[in-house]
Amino acid sequence: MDRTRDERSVRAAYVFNLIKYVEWPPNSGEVVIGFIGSPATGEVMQSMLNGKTNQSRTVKVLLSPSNEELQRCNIVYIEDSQTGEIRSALKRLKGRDILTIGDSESFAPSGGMVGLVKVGDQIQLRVNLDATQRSGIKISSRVLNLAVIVRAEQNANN
Amino acid sequence: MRTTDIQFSIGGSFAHKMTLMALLASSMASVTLMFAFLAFDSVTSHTQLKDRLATLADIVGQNSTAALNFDDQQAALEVLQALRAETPIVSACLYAQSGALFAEYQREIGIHDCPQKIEKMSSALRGFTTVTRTVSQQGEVAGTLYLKSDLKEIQQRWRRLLKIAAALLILALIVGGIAGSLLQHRILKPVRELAGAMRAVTTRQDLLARVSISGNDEIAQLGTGFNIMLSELAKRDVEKSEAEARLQYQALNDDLTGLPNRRLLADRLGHALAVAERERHRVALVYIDLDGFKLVNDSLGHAVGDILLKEVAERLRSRVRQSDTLARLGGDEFSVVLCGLNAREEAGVVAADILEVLSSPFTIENHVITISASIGVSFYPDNGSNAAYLLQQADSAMYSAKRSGKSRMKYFSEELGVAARERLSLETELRTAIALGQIVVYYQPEFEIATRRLVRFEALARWIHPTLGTIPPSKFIPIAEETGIIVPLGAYIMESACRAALEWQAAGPIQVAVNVSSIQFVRDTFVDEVMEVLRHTGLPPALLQIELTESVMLTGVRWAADAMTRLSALGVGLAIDDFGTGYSCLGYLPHLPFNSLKIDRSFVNELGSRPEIDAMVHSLVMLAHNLGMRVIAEGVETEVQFEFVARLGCNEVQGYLLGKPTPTPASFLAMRSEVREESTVASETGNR
Repeated sequence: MDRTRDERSVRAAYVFNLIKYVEWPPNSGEVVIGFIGSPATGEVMQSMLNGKTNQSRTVKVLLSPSNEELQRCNIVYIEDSQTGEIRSALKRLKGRDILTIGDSESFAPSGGMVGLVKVGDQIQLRVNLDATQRSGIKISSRVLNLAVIVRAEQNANN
Repeated sequence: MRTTDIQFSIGGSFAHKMTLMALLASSMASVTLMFAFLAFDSVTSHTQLKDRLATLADIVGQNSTAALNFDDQQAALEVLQALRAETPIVSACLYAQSGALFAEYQREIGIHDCPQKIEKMSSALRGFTTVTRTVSQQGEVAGTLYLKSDLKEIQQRWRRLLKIAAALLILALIVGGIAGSLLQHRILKPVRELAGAMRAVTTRQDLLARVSISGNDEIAQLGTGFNIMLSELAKRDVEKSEAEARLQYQALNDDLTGLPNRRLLADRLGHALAVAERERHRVALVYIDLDGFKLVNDSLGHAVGDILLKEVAERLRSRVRQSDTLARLGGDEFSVVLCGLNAREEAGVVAADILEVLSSPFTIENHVITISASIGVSFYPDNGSNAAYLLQQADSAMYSAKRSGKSRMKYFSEELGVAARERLSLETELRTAIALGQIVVYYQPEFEIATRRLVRFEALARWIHPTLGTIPPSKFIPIAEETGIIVPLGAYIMESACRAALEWQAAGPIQVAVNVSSIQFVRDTFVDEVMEVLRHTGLPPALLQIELTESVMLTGVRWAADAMTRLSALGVGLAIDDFGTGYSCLGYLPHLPFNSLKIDRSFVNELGSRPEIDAMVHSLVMLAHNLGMRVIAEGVETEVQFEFVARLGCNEVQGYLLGKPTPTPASFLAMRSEVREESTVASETGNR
């Protein structure tokens, strides 16, 4: 379980670090992260990131946000355990300036923007450029240099 | 020029020094510039390298933030690998925020230069330069980057620059050398010209040369100074040559008359002889001596004498051809060199002409002066070819002319030469004759006609020469007079005569007559000397009669009168000797205290043969008697002559008829004693 928790922490750190390389069109004073997934991961995320400041913006983590809350989110993290909900959630968020982050291998190809996929010991960044380009979000090239760029699957787009 | 030796070695050291100086200056400037440049370059290179490292660190750091943030070592390595393009970078160490080595880059494969944990990096590694940068993203520290670079690039650059510098230096030296030599050629050109001009002046002695001057630099000033010096030298040269010409003129010409002097005459004579030898002509050397000039000089003063000489020179000049040299030999002696003669008579004509031109009286400062000249002539080649001998021979001939009665000309002859040589040897021997006892005094008696008594002996010197026998006074007295030997000789005769006269007194009051030369008489001390002789011999002054010739008057009548008056006051008798042969001038007679007048033997000899002589002698006797003088007839040799003079009224006689000069007059004294015994009348004799 420690190992899982450690992995969760790394993911949380990744999410936090990602904020530095992402630009949202309307820049507000806070970064709201909506978490959709297991409560354990949500708690880790919340405990690690909630209230932290990143580039003078306060990070706020909302666990299992409602539809209205989702509207206010800058980032939505979708845990892979909730595979069934990914598509519906992504459908709802499609076209919005919300950075979508997921941890399953299929997240980015299914229309998510950034996937934090565990490969061996490492967590690898996978970015779906089509998804980011459709939104008004810009991810720094430095991150893109680190990331594996993935294409959306045909069927997923439909 | 001869004292200051200015030497310019233009081709040599000066030019080389200038070139060397230019080279030194250019190379020093170049070296200084290069070192300054290199030092500057070194500093800038280091700074640039540092700046570059910093920039690289910034870029690499920026590029590796994401890798650090996302813990992507592979990505970090890739970023660091980008440094491979930057050759100076030896190593790059990227440390994570935790301080652990995150990624490293080594230029050399197999070397791991980076410590595993971050530590304080030395920034002063020798041969390296380092930079440490904190890697941060949006103000958040992500890690640290450490870059280490070597200086090889800078060193290589340095070496390259040094090579270029060396090459440039060599180039500068070459260019400087060429430029320097061109420049020195240009700068030294006027100096070389100046030196050339100086050499020209020195070698050609051309003081009129001038240096052309251009510009206004130091060399131009030097040239101007040189020109000024030249003109000063030239001026001095002109002055010097003028002075030399003046000196030469003075050396060769007579100041008074402007005629050539003896030296120039000798030169011209030598030249004339050379020409005559070539052209087979005769040359005559005419030697002119004025008669009586000394008397003019003594009586009328040197100023008048000088004017007379000038006028004589003028007259002579008027009678001499331009081609002939007229010279003044000194004193009253002149000479003429006559060239291109064919016959001796041509010289005779010139001599006669000269005698004629000098015969008319000169009027100088109201004095009417009549002089004459004695002329001697010698000939080339007749008498020799040596200029000095010819001059000597002409002199001898002139002397002969003078001896023959003056105002005449004589050619030189061998006999004259002999006579001249004889005279010279006599002159030498005469100097010792008195000391050797060769001068012997003879005495000739003089008798009173009326009483037939012996009244006086005339002292007459004889020179008993060891080889020539007895030499008469007429031969040696002139020599004595000319040489001045007459003074001691005269004193000796006076002394001897006075001593002898003292011995005669036993036989009665018999006078002694002593002839005194004008030369003796004109001496200031003469009267004192006579008094001294009378004093120490003890002879009564009345027993001494001094006989003077007319020439004494010519030395100055007033002075002669003073001396005569003093002698007369002492009681010494005075007689005028050889009357009628010299410059007889009756005017002075009344003013002089003469007791007696002696009629010259030449008149006595002619008595009875020429009536006018008889008349003249008669008149003389009358004149003398009227002036209170007794008359003595000389040279009575016959009874007829004795009768004549007795009849004419002469008081006393002297001559061979009555007695020849004898060194031992004792026989006459005996005669006197007899006469004395016969006659009881002691009439006064010898005094007025």
